[in-house]
Amino acid sequence: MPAEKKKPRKKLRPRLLIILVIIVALAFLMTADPLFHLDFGIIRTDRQAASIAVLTEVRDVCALNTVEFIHKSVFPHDFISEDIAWGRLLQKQREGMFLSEEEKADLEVYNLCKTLDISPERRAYDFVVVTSIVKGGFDLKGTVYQNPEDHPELVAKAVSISEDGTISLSLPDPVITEFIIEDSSSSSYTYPDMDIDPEEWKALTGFIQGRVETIVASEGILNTAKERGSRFIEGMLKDAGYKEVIFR
Amino acid sequence: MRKILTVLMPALVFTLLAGCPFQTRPDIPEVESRIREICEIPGYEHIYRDIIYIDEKTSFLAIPVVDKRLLFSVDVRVQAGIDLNEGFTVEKVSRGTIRVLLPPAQILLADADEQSIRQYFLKEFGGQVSRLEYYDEIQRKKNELIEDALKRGILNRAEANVKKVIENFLQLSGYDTVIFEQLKKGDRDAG
Repeated sequence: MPAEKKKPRKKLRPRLLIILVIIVALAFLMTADPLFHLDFGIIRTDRQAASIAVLTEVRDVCALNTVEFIHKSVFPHDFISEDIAWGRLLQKQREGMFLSEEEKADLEVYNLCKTLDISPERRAYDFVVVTSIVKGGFDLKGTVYQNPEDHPELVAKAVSISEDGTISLSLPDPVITEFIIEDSSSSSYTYPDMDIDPEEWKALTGFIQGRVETIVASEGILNTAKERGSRFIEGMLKDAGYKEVIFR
Repeated sequence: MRKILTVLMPALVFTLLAGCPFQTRPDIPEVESRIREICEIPGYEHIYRDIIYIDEKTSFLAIPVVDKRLLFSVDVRVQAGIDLNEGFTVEKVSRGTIRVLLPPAQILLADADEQSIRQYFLKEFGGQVSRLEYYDEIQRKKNELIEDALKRGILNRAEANVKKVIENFLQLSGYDTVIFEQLKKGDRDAG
């Protein structure tokens, strides 16, 4: 019997193997990085890495100022209540009677009016307009947002990511980041001019500066700053794939 | 053996690549739709509490015959952002790098809140201040405040904020480098 002819070996095989090895090596290089950091708590570690990434990106957005208030105050009208009885208040002061904090504040306005030659007792049409610029934002100082990598235990408290794609995070407190009283010039001041010397102007702006909290509270500036910041953050996180964003 | 490998290889490659990071990056249409959502939020807002003063005095032979004075405050919001109706483009440059072409920021809204009006005083001697008179003043004020907002740099801030949020979103989505460019006028008209 004639010996069976051996089939010639195809040369394709080693080439195929080389291609396969290259593909596997490439794929390994692309996916292997997390494997080098394996520990027993791999899922926790991944979650924590995601939380730190989120905090870092949210921090950047928190640092943005998204709203600015240009607030014009009318002195003295904005600082006195309509039903105030100046005569009775002045009498209480003369007699050395106890004055509440509110009454003391009214007296401060009264004294400043006298300095500026404004008569608050009668229904006067004199007034001064003072423009303040107020900016609100988030106070990142001393929070986990500053250096999330250094405080893994705080990261878990600040942000939690659940399996269903819900992210829950606590934002820093909103604060006033800037408060400036603008100087008036004849071109920008469109109201009747008043005879106020530099010392009196200083006293007036000092008074307004001291009432920042009142202005901020009455205009809801902090809430607006927080609300706008939250909208930005929520939009960014939802776009990054989180289904729901909950602020704690 | 070769046959086995040939059959298994696509499955093996698919399995390995399925775990690669770039697979999680959203594709261009998805990125575009998300950028649209981001741009729906105005990038920067000025909230004005402005004071309007109407003063009209007329005298005849040094005797005042008309003395009308009205002082009131009103809140006006001026918002700026990027209007994507002007057109925009997103291009993948390379793996992990993306280019976003956006139109420049513009004023999107200037709105006076009539509910916020607070009247300080009203003096009407020899005539009344009509509703149209002070509505005209509010309208005039709105235009003034738009000019004021532009002078204070609202457009630059709005653009910077929107870009920052887009950049952060893209980085969270796996794009390490984001290149921003301004859409040219011709492209905008075409878009």
